[in-house]
Amino acid sequence: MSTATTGTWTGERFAHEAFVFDDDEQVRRRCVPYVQEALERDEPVVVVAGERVRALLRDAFGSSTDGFAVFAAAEDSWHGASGTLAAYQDSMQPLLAAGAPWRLIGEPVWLAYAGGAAWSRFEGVANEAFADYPYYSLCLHDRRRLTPALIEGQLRTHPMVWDGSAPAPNPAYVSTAEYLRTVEPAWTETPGTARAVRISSVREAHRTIRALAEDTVPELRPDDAVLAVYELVSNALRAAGAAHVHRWDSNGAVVWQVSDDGPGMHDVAAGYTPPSREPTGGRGLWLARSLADEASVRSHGPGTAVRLYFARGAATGSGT
Amino acid sequence: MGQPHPLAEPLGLGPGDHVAWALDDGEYAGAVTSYFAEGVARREKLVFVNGHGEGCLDLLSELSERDQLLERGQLVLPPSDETYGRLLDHDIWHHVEHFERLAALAVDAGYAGLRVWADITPLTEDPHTLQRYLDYDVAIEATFRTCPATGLCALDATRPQAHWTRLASRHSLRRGRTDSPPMAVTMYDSEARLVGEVDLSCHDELADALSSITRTTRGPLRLDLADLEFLDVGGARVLAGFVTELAEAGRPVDLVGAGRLTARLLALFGVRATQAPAQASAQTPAQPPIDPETEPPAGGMTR
Repeated sequence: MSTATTGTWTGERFAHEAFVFDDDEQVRRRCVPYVQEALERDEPVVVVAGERVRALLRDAFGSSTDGFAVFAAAEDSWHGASGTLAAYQDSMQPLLAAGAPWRLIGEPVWLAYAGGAAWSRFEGVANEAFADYPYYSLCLHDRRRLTPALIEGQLRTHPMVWDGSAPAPNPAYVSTAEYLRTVEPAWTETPGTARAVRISSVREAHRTIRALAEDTVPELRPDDAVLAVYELVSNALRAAGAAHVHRWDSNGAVVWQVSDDGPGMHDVAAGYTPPSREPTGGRGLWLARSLADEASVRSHGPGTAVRLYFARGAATGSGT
Repeated sequence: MGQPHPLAEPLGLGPGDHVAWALDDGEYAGAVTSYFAEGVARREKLVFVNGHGEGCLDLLSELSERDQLLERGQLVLPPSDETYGRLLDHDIWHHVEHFERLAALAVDAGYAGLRVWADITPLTEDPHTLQRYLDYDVAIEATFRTCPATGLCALDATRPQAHWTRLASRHSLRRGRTDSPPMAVTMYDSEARLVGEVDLSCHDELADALSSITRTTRGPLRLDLADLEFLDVGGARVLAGFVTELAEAGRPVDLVGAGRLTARLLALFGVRATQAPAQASAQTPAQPPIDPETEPPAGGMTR
């Protein structure tokens, strides 16, 4: 039997489609057969969407929506980009444990919220992070509510689009690494005026970072910066036995760079993916990314360099 | 309470203080003499739990009226191995109650309180006895809040660093000859407290100190984090493991007073902590409530 609404998806791996619509009729024509097919196959349906899309699905399916695995308001589901991805990953665990494929309708209305544009990075990262999850993710974008730039970001991070009758490869899609390089702060040379220290002692690490943070213009949230940098230094000490820390001011932000010479991860997407639920899994880089306003990762000789950006506080403020 | 507090001399200590002290032979006699001289001035009963055999008298040769103190029973000199060897015989709380009785007897006999110098160096020879003592050390902390007692746990500074680290991580007040962990786990009334800074240098010490809490307490536990100044991901992992282990044993742990970042770190491991009100922890450092009815007349460092 042909699977018109999910194309060649076999229900074994992750499929990720961006659907852009101009009016309610377009979104109805895409979503109603998609959900209908899921119900016929006993596939769990997860809906996290804006009020209009939910109303439209309620019109079509009535009280059946009460039986959906999730039927939630996207307006209440935003916890910052990394927090939202983590909550999203958590919510999928029961479905993953059940072992059967499921279908998602997601409408990230939060793209238009303050800080929401960063969500596209996490959409890109999800392609790798959730590759083995057996679900079809249909992501809805309302052209009446999202700017062209926000929609472009979404199109660049979804491997598939709807061609009017079936899912098709998306010509605008780029690899996650390439996408991140274009949206993260440009990796300029470390300025010669940057304060620099080398840390090789676990006993001194915290004190040294704290002193450096108090040295010049403070961050708006100095404790967040100290913890985030500490975690990067901690990773570097484990990987290489020493960490090089640089700190400088740049366009209203305080930039911290932590680099090492050890064998480590060079994946530019490192730290975007929520940590595993295993207590032994690494969480430092993920935490650092979620505490910082911006972050980027690069190869650095044989090792790794990570930059964190924090909003600057007032030079003469209390700093606490 | 509060931050781990480094001390310079064993002076100015009074009821409520429970100190860890590392020292070498050269300074031993001077330190123990100063400590007890202060106790004499405070009219306290003096207990020198020592590992020096006959030599302990020599260590106190400069203590004014030493022989008279001994004669009238104000100063007693029980040996460490015998005193703490008994820890293996009974429940820890049996020994804590015994200590409370000794303090009460001292008061009944007309003394202002009890002052103990406990040399635990001989205990480092036997891991079981040492572990038992370290558990006792955590359990008895709260007793110093309620009894007119002053305690100092002394350790020979030439013993392996690991012994000192374990002892220090169970005391907020300490003087080490080498590095001391930047955090401490102690008991206050029926609640446990984690104070100071937990970083990469002390994850194992934190787990070890928390294990004493696991062994010495029963039932639900309250752990106060109000004076925890810094916690890293590795420390949060240790703390979450402790909470999970107790919860699985039917002992819920109520984590209170957590800062914003501490709560966020614990959430990474699926553990919930009650956050301190944003300003309250900054304006009101965690101090034991002072009850004028039970407050000893002259306090020590912890007040």
